[in-house]
Amino acid sequence: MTTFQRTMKNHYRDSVALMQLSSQLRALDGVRQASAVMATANNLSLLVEAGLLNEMPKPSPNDLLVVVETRDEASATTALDKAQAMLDKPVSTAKAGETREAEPRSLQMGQRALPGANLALISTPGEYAAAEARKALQLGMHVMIFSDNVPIKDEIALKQYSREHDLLVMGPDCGTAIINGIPLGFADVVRRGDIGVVAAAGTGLQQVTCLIDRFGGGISQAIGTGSHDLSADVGGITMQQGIESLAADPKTKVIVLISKPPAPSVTERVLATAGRSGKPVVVDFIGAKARNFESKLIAGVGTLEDAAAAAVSIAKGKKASPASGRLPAKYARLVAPSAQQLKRQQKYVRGLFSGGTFCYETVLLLSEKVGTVFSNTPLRPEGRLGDVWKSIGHSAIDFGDDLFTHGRPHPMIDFRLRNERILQEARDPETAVILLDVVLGYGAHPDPAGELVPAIKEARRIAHSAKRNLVFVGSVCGTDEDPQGLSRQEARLREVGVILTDSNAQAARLSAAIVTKR
Amino acid sequence: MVEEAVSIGEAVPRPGFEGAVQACFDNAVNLRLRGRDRIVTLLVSDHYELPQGIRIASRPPMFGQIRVGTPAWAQDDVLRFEDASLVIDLSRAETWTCPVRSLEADMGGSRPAAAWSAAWGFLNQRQREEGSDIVGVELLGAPPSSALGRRLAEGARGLLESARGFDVDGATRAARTLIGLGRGLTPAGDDLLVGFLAGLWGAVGKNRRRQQFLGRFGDGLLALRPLTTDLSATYVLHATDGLFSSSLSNLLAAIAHGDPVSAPAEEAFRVGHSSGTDAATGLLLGLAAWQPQLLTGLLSSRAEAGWERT
Repeated sequence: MTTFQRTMKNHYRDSVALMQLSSQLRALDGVRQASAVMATANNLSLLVEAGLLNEMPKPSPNDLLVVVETRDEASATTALDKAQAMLDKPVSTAKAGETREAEPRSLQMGQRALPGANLALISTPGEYAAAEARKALQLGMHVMIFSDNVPIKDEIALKQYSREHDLLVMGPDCGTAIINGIPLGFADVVRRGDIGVVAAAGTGLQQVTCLIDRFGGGISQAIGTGSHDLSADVGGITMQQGIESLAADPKTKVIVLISKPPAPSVTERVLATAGRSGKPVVVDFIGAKARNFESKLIAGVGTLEDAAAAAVSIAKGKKASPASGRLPAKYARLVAPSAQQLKRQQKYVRGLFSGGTFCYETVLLLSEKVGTVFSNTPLRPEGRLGDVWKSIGHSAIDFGDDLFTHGRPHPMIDFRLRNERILQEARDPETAVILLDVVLGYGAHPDPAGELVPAIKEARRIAHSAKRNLVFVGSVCGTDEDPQGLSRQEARLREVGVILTDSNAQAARLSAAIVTKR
Repeated sequence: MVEEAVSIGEAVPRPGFEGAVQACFDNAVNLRLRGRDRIVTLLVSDHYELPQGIRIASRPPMFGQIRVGTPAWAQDDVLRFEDASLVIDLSRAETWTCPVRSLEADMGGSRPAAAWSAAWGFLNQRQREEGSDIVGVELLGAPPSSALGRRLAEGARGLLESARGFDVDGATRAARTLIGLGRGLTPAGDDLLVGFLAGLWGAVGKNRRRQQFLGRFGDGLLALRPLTTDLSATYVLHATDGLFSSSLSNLLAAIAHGDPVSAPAEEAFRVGHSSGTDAATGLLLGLAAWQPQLLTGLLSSRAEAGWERT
């Protein structure tokens, strides 16, 4: 390694610009060290001490000195030329004796930069999230922890602290919320209204809020609790606080609770809190017996769609009509023509999901009609798929599972794995229906249909070459106000023959009806 | 385009001057005065004042694109640039006078001491958050790990000990280790030094021994000015006369009066990238130089207890 230097006469840059310049030079190939300073005697002496200068040159305080230690002279020339080019550009900094707005680099700075901010969204690697959340709480802020892999003892401590200080901790592993009309994390643009949602299920919350929007209702607040909140250890602290918040919120008329079935002790506590809210509460503990929750103020439902429909009815002053569980006529008439396309050996539904709640709800609804559904998130141990990379019988795969997301983006963003699996299922002569979910909204891929359509076309080509047809069934979770636009996305999928239903539940029921019709 | 100046710092030569653009930034243009070793700064701000500043309230178009080297002159209450890109009407500008020389802070009083402690707390918290080269309490404790931090700490300690012992030569030696030390137009060592002078000016009061020390130390500093950038040398020049920026002055005034310090501290910290916190560090150390009980408990080793107790 050798050092090289270049002096720029009467060049003036503030310390931020010089730090950035040094940092960019260090990132160049062949550069080991780089420093850019005003050539004062004290700075030159520092460079000598650091070994970047062999001897003390004559100081020239109004000149800028750039020094690099590089692998060879060519690397040095490249680096110094780059420095020269950057320094020759017009200055675009607010320094030189003027005050500046500090870029917030901590929660404290963020709160100072935005006085009155009372919510911090934490999205760091799991091991750091609890510490950041604690800081936010101590600053008096509510917290949404997007991060997962936070130790359960930390979650408990954070939630106990927040409860004692009248603050809310959404998460860890909270991917979705809508607070005061602002979508946070993976969330959709929905109409504001008088229905409040508390959910321990991310895509469950998205489905319910989107369907409420579709049915003419609106959302006051949608609070995510994180996936571990309703465990016996955590005790449903956030869900109970969420219910209490919505009970106190004059803009909320109806409350909706969404979760997989909580631990029994937690169910009891949550329902007691719901009962005390004084407001009608719609409960979908997906897979639990709805009628167990029924009371004067609490309506139990069995699907996300039913939860949305019941909430909208109640908010409009009507009674929630009991869900029939039947396939609506507009879908029922599609069953026979779809089934007729299939060959004898095409017997199975293959559900490929990006949303965990959609997968779970599908396993539940499908298994009611077709028996065991194999999955990486099964209802019962015997339904666990031994090899998640290969479907057997009726299968439903949650591609958001850690098994699939390790080292790659979530399937709502990155469609590669799911698309490969679509082709794999198309090659399987036993595949009858490929069942898909498509999730829109902030955080999701900007054009999910655009990602899926080529794979669907190729899957059809593979099936046709084996003299088979495939039935694609799906549902799109989103609204027309989402960046991707619900109607646009649905239109593109319909163009390639995907049968779309209004909800995940209907897609599951339609798929079951097609394979059982034969 | 004619812009109206809102205020003019008391150190801007009146009735006029000649110079050329030395550096140009988004919200400031520095003019090097012909025949004088100093800078005048034309700055855009709604409140920030400099002894050498001409302040306009809003940013004119093309402000940040005036060419370096362009001649400029102030005459008959108008500041002009040779390329006619900008004309500043100075006729209605008020003179901004730095209040530091008249403050006479009694740092032995309970309210100023409490305000100092609060400001010290804010400062250290901010410096830790920002990962600054200087963290106030670390200057007084174990040596920082970086070479720059170590030198800054040595210089700061040298200033403190010399001021306390009224050792002008020692203070000047310490200042020599600081001046021009650090990145940017106003290196951290200079900011620390200017802040330290502000603290001394705030605390000097009518004590003759302190006044003599400050005067002689100022003379020593004037000789060191060629060792740093022109802009920084200008700040040092005015600091020896007891003239400082409005943000540093406001923080000093709040401490001297025992007023709440969070707002003025925040304003002072926000100057430049780290200039504001570096100068505030110097200010608080300067205020504590002759009231070492303020630093009691902040020193990390018993070796410092000798001057801690005095």
